[in-house]
Amino acid sequence: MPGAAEPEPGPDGAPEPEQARVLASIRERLHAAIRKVCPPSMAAHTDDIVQLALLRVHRAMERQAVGDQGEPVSSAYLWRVAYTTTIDELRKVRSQANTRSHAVEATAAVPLAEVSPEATAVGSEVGVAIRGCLDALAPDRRRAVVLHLQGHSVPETATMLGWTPKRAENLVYRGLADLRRCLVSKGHAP
Amino acid sequence: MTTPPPEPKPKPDEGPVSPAELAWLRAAFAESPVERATPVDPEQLWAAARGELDPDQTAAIVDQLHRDPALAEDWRLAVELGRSSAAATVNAAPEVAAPAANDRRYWVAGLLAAAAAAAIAIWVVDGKDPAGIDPVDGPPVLRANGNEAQLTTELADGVTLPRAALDLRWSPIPDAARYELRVTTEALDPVYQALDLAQPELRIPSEALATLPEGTVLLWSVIAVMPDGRQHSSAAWRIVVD
Repeated sequence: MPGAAEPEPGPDGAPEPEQARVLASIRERLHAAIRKVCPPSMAAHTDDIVQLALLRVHRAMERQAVGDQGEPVSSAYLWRVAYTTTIDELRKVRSQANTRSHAVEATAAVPLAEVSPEATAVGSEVGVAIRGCLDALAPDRRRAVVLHLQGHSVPETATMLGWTPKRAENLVYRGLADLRRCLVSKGHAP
Repeated sequence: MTTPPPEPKPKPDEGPVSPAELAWLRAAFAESPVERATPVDPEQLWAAARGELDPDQTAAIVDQLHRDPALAEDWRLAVELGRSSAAATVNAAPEVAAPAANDRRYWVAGLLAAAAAAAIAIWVVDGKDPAGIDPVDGPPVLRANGNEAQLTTELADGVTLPRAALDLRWSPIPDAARYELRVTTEALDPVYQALDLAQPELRIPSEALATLPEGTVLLWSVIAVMPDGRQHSSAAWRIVVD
């Protein structure tokens, strides 16, 4: 993206050493998180997204430095700013990708598959089966299984949904067993 | 001599889900088809994924995850960044460090791991410090009432370590007769243990980690056993296998 650059230095020159350290830490970890979680199609946009997030974070630091009203700049706040900016930008990129794929399909003699990340997802038979099986689960079992599939531990799931650890454990493991049984009945297995 | 009948093959839908099956389910879940849903405010997503949102509101968001892979991806990004920020906060200078909400979840996970490791004494915290949780500048540990020594580690909570050289180190306890090390999954399934260590460090044998998928989170804890039988227990710390 033209114009994306390092955050501007403060009025005295380079960012304070502590600020620079925080920015560097956020940059490194944000890059790593996007690479780990997002599909390869996002790779070309990662630098721009990270730069925009850092700009927003740096502005938050500067507002605090000049005594602006608002939330005290804690580390937790800065990470939240980095995340929300990243999501806003990711959604713009996804939306643009969808628009492009719809336009190409409208003009092509034969509809093109695989022009967007969603095209790949649509084609996943197993994904369709998983969604159907999850829909069939009792609500709490489904929530427990979904969070487990999203990488959360049993204790985390319990805390997030206000359950006891034992209840969460039962729901996760019984829910996974239900899911597997359903997938096997549809002809899917690892 | 008759040949015993072969063991019946377990049906594919019986028994607990293995780590390999779980990895397959997670990958397939990430590719489930799109059903356009109302976008969720990123601020709410961040709070929900870190356990800072009301459970009912969290449940409402979770109900959308399996129908919207993009939303599920946004959620996973919040989880990943939340864990990264917690690890960064542990190593940060006090003036920019802030309590990460998920420190409490790690403390809970640590309690469960400590209880499941068997024969670990969990000290009761006195009334002057009811929470018994360390302040923000370190991983949460259980404090004892008295002068008992405290086990700590320099390894950052949630740090990723190479499975070919997964070295665990902790603070030595003076005059300790031996150390007991226990490693489990987050679900508290045993992964490895060594109960007669002379030194406060150990490289986990790679064969013990061979079946674990990349990115597996492990909990590890240590007990220092004194010559008179007294024990000092650590909290449970997290590491990630590469």
